[in-house]
Amino acid sequence: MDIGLQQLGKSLLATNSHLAVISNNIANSATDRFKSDTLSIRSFSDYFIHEDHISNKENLYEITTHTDFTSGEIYKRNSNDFALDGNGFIAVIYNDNLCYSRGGSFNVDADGYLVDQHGSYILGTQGNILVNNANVEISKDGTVTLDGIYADTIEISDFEDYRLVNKTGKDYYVAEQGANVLQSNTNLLQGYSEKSNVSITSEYLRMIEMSKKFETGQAVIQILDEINGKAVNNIAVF
Amino acid sequence: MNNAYYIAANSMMSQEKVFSTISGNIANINTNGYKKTSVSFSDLMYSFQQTASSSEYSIGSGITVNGYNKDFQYGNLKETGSNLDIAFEKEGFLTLADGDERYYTRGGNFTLSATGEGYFISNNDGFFLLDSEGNRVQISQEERDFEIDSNGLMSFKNSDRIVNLAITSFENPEKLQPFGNNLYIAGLELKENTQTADIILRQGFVEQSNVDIATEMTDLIQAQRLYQMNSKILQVMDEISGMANRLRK
Repeated sequence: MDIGLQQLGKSLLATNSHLAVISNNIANSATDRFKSDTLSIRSFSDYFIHEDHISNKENLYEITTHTDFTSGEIYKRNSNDFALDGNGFIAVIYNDNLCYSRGGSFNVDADGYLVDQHGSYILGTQGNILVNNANVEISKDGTVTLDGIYADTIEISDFEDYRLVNKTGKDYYVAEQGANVLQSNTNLLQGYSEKSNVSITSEYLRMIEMSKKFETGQAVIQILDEINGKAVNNIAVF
Repeated sequence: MNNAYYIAANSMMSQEKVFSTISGNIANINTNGYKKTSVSFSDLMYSFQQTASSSEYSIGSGITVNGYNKDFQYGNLKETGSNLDIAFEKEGFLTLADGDERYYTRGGNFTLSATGEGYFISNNDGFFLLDSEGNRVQISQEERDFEIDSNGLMSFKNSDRIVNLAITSFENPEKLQPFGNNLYIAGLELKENTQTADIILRQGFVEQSNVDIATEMTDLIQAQRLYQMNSKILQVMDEISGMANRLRK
């Protein structure tokens, strides 16, 4: 009986987390380059069989989030915007940390370096790219030419296992240790931006599903509570 | 207790910013020289939650305004015939002065303002047009008949004087800060284009606003739907909290 109540309680909490993920997806459904998240819950018994250990009885739910890295729709935007046409990331230095980005807009900072929309340095094969006053052209394969002279190449990389790539906000991603970085042939499109890959309809459906799930859960809790009450008040009457 | 509340509320506030930029654009659809403003967003940080076992999961915390961008796409030119109307076909900004302050503008309707020292070319707010040496452009009584060529060179019918207007073009005009009245002030990291730029000045023309009503309306509908969706989430979260409160009757 206790386990039932506990399980249901955890289930309600998990539903809450699920709604938080859904509302974050909906909030960012118009944010360029946003990738939607899904929360998945494995029940205890699955976990139990799968992992083959028993010590963990109180762990009734196993929650994980994963990000859907499918590309969003590419659309025409301002001339200094850029997007990646397919899988891949470019490397940037944000606050001294190596981050990966799906695109954004090119800018030149006060020191003459090529930066993105948040002022993070865009990395070429030789590090930060100094452009100064030159006329910058960036071709599809990431080659940067300054006044017609080759300067550097913006490397477009990809990961073997997306499960090791985490979001950090500001449309940046960080790779966990051990993530295998691959070369990518994806094209860099200038003058384009990528829409978010959130499907409003499926988020909406999931929101309804979750709110109903919560309702069911709380109804069952009440039934269990009644049963407990009966056990205490009716059966145990001397 | 709940992230979803705050995420939804924060997203609604973000969409309100979209509403105000769109209404600003629509209000200026007939303003000569107006450049469309757009607002861009990015996601906020993610918090990692540890579950009882080793696995962790992350939940985002909403949306934030990245910045407001001016779209410097060229507007269509409209002929007015007035020799004090100036517009650029492509790149280019004129420089105006109000005391020591410098302002940039894409052109517009200018007038002659009378000062104690004579007549000067100014905009409707009394900001004076500057020549390439940084002086105000004085027009005497006889010099009212003048022409400005496509490079910004002013020549007068009744005098030999030649005035070269100050024209700048920027590599990253999106770093200009809007001041109002189609004037911009130099922002941080603004870079002048030192290369010979594609400047074609047109006298007797004004540049129309580059706002496209159809795009604005679709953006508005999208923002409105998003607002609606978020308010629905608030409602659902409210119901859920209500249910949690009624768990024990």
